Amino acid sequence: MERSVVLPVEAISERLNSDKEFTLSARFWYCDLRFSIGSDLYFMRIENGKVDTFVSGTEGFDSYTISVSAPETVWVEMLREKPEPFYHDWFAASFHHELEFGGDLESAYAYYSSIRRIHACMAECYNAQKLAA
Amino acid sequence: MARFSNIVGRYVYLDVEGIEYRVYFEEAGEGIPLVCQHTAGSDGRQYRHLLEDKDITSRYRVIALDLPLHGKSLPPVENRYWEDEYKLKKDWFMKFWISFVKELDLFQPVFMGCSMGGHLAADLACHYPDEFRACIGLESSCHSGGFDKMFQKWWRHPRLSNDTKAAMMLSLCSPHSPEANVRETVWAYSQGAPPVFSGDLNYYGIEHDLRETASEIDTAKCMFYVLSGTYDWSAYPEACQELANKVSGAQYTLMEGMGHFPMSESPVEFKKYLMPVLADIEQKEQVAAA
Repeated sequence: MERSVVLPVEAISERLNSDKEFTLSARFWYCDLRFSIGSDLYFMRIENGKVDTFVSGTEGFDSYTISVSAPETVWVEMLREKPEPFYHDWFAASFHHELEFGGDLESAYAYYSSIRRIHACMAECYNAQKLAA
Repeated sequence: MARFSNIVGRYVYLDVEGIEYRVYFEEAGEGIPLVCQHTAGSDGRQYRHLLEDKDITSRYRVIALDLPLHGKSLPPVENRYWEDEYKLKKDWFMKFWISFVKELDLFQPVFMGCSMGGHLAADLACHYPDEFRACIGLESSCHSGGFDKMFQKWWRHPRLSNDTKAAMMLSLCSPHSPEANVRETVWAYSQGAPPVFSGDLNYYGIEHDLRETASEIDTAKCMFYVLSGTYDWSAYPEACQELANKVSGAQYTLMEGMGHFPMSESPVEFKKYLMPVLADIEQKEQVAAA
């Protein structure tokens, strides 16, 4: 079955590393994030507040400290420019939709503004990719 | 020539349960008193747009206060507050407001509050219906339980900075609200003293519970209105509507595209929903007086 959500990992990495709010809020942050879109996995490594790597797929044995996981249908809604209620934020979606937000909560809460920026930049790049296709 | 706001701020001394509190409030306008309670962890600045709106201040004396420990209302000097865990208690919260209304000699004001203030609107309507002509609950529900661990641990954690609360509050704002208003709304959350937000949520998430008693609210004595925003994941629309449904004669308004902080995150849109409520209160007053 063809996947409808494919994240443009390079564009997202570049966008985040040039984003004024992200680079301010993410300073001193070291973190490995896992994004699960249905059965597809993406891994993002943050090193000292910058996206070091962001890759699609896994050969197994990838560690992570924060995980965002949802069916593809939820991601489609979350990546809209103006999402419907409770798809507008990962935390909100975890209460009202089928999305799991978990892992090291101390890091997640400390850097929630950065995590929100990841969502915003991800949606922006995903929608730009769709428009260009 | 300086351009001044019409808002005037001052302090009043209140006695609540034998403790003196020095309470900051701002006011503007003339007419029916409209007293406003901010959300947990924030302060009266949330109502600054209402306080500067001539359509409202020409008919209402709008008053917005900072609850003790919030904004410019410092903790009472008589308390060794640094030795005790701060927890906002329901009975104290209601008595505080009754004391404020009496001290300012306000005759049956309209009470409006948001979130914990919205919950208080329901509690005041239930327990003190003779003191208020109407209570307006924004993002007000019967109960907001289930988040105890989150706010007791993670929203007051020694290793989490004042960035965290502001960021978490972004999750409650609507993507349709103007960004400048949203950022200002969450800015106030970054300015609260560390224990305040979590302590306020003791009332919001634990002590406020009208699941069995909401139907006791008598709208013949005190009119009751509930307004809720579609993007509020905490006091979400179904929960707010449930409260209104339990109160005979209550009015429920769904605010499309609004979040948890309507008066500050989207004041222009909020006004469209608030004005009919204020008009209804005035009309019912006139009918009752005739």
